[in-house]
Amino acid sequence: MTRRELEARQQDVLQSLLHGDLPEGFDPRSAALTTRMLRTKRRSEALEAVPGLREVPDLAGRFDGWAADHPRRGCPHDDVIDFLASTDGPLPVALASVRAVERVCRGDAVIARDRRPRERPFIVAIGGRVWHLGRRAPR
Amino acid sequence: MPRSPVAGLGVGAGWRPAIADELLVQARDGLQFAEVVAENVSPAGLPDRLVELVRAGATVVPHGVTLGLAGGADPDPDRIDRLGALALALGSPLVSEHVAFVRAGRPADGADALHPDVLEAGHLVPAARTPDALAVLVDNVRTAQSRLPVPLALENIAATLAWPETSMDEPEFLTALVEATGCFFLLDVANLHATCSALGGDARDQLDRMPLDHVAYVHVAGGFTDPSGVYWDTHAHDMTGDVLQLLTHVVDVLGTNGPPVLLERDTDIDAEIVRAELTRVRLAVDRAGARA
Repeated sequence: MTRRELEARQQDVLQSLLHGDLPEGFDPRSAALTTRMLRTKRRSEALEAVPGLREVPDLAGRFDGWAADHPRRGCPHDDVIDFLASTDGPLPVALASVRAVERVCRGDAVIARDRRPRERPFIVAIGGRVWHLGRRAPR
Repeated sequence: MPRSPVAGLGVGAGWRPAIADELLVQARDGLQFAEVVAENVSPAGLPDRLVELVRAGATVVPHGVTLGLAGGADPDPDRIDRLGALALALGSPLVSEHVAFVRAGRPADGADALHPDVLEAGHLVPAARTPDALAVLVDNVRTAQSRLPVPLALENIAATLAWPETSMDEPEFLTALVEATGCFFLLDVANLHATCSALGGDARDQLDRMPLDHVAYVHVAGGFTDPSGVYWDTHAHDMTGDVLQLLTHVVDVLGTNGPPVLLERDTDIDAEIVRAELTRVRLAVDRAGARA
């Protein structure tokens, strides 16, 4: 097996494991344990980056389900933002605001309410730009 | 037999910001050995308390987690150079990494440089243990060694994955690796226990066939055993009796003044926890000394 063939083999197997599939020829238990390990590690790093995720209902099921179809593209903070932008379930107020703002920034919505203290209360996409509007709540 | 560059340094702990002050206190009380995760600090701007630890006389080894030397891709020269720069900045006599791959694939032709066709595992994944995979690993390790200013030690990981094409067991594979490259061996007893719990095998039997004459230092860490009997090497729990007994056996074999033992604790960590866990490590080491 050449270096390139080894690389391709590792990529195929890793892709299956991250997605939660059984790579051909592998022992199902061993593959399942490895998928669990990879998902737990990724979720743990996201929690370390944003401890507020602990308040998300059914975090393990929702985050792991999202991660199966979304390979890591950056650091754990990127993971958290991508997850929040994708998930539709209930979130704590602060994280729900992050989701709403992120969806406007990504062009998936035109207006959002930001309920976090010390943030401007409205986010609006106008003409390809995103505006943060309204008065910040006094400290 | 190459003598470990850090032999005789006793018991140490992985440097983490949450216990930086505690390690300084312990250094003034005799702690001589520590390790820092290379990806968490910059050689151009080391944390003040890490610098203080070095000035207090501790030897600090940079421990990399993203080289992926068992991967099919050529190792990234920038990552190797950064590891080497950290060794120079810390005055370390060696650096360490893992026998694992951490990503796979390469940028497609014309791909956006920021979104290459590379899958990041986000963790250490074992490669198949075959002669072909060994040849690529040896080549990668030699590349790393040629760029590093200090010797390299490589660690056995906690493996849950059994590749169907594997034709060598872990002791055979690691022995062939150190013989081909002359690298040091970083023996993680908790990882060995974890691998045997997940994939089968007797940890003591495997341990005794590992390249023990090349051990630079020893890792020990906490974890838990789930109801199915699989041990998870979390670095977030206290050490189990199984792991400590294995540590005592290792020190019996390697000698109490040989390679140092380093406690890894990453999360659920504070000074009190680390102080207590270091005491348990020292007791396990002393038990070996008492039997000698």
